[in-house]
Amino acid sequence: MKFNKLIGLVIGCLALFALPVSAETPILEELMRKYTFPLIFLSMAGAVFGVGYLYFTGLLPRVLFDTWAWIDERFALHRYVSLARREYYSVVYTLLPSTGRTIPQSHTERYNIKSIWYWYPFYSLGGLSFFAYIILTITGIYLGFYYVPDGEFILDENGHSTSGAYQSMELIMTQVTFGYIIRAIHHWSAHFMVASVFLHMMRVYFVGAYRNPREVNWILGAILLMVTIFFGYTGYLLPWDSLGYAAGAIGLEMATSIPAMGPLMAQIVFGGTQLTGDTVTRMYWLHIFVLPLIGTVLIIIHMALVWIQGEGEPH
Amino acid sequence: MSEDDAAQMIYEHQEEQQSLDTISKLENREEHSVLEADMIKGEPLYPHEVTRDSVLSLYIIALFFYLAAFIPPPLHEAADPTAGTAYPPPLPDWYLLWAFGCLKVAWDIQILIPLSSIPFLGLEDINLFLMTAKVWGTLVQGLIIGLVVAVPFLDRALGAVIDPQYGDVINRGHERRPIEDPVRAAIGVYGIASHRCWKQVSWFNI
Repeated sequence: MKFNKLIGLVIGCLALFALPVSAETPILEELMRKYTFPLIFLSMAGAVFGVGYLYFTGLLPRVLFDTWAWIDERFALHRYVSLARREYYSVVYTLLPSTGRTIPQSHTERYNIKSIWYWYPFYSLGGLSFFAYIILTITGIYLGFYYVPDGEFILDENGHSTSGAYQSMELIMTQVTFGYIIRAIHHWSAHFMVASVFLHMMRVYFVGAYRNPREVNWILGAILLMVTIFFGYTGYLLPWDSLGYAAGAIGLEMATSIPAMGPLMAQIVFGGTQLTGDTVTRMYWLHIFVLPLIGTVLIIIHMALVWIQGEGEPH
Repeated sequence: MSEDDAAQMIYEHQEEQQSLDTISKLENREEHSVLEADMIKGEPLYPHEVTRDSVLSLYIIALFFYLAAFIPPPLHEAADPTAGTAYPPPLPDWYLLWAFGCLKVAWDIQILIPLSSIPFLGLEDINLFLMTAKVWGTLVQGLIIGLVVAVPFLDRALGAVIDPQYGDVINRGHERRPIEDPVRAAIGVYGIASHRCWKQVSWFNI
């Protein structure tokens, strides 16, 4: 142990001696410019060599055990690990009581089916829409760094109407590194997610999987479909181009036409009974906070119910 | 403590944990398995569905990159509130066309009793529904969404009409292929067709 610390100290001192000292540029900038990629490589190589050292000296189990014990002492994770392991083995032993296999039989094996396999992609649509949701989250975080939710109408240098939101969209499409491709992936993932949620609902309907005991999950899914559509609506209004403006006009008409509580709905969703800059701010906040919060919570419940109840697959 | 002692300690700990797990999974598998309950019979999410999904998700991410590389995401000209109505007027995205079609159909089926066309009486038209087309279109959309939400209960009620024991016995956890349940399949096809019609209507007469 002492010997390892000594080696680490020596390597650290050598690295300090290797620091470039320059009068022209600040030292941190110089460091980043010259040594970013060597440092990444060195740290990866160091990780490999460190794990290899621990492995060949036989210390790896000890280190892993100490790490696990440190975490487990604080968060009592062994309860949940054993719970999950017990659930897994209960599924295995239920579906395969006599054989020694470690995974349960597939649907085709259990029912000796030769011809239903081409329906299987339809059963994956729920999972695929969740996958698209994850991709939308990642690309959306990147777009959120550059998008400005400013819908106030201004005039550009040519006298044309524009807005801060639209200018930031132009920036993303032309200037930002990877902005074009990230927005394109966001766009296509959104369309794919809406389509796959629609088709997922049709699949569930046509195999009758909404029946007892899955009624609650059907209702949750219907709410999630509406959340997805509203995600799409708020999303394509955000660039604040002519299409988004027209969509906002239609949505505003629909909101105000609700009897008795129309103006209130318009105020809540659109920020008033006229399309102004406030509309974009409302839509932005709905799109990046309110709907993700509702959607994520509902998706977790939806998938937990699928985990508990299994998947309704006719044979 | 030498390294051999540590390895021995870890080995003993692991053995102990494994025997404890074996005992607990043999003892508790009955009470802790939801899938073992007779009422619920389903394919497990893990590993079956997760395997299928993870294979297909590789294709899907490839599809996203392909589409993103070859078809640019649209960005039209900036919004201009002073500009007049464009022709053709911009339609909403494809997944909202059915709602747009509802509004248009409601506009078209608005029924007036044309009393004002009768001369010399000085009467005004009477709107038969006492509400504007916009209100009707919005309410029809709410009705459609309500029908979709209520599908499990409508199914149960319909089955109870056809067969009194349907809701209690046959319905329990039995999903079936559409061919085995023609009434439900026909209603579903009708729903898809009407959705398509609302959509088609939104493209007419603009």
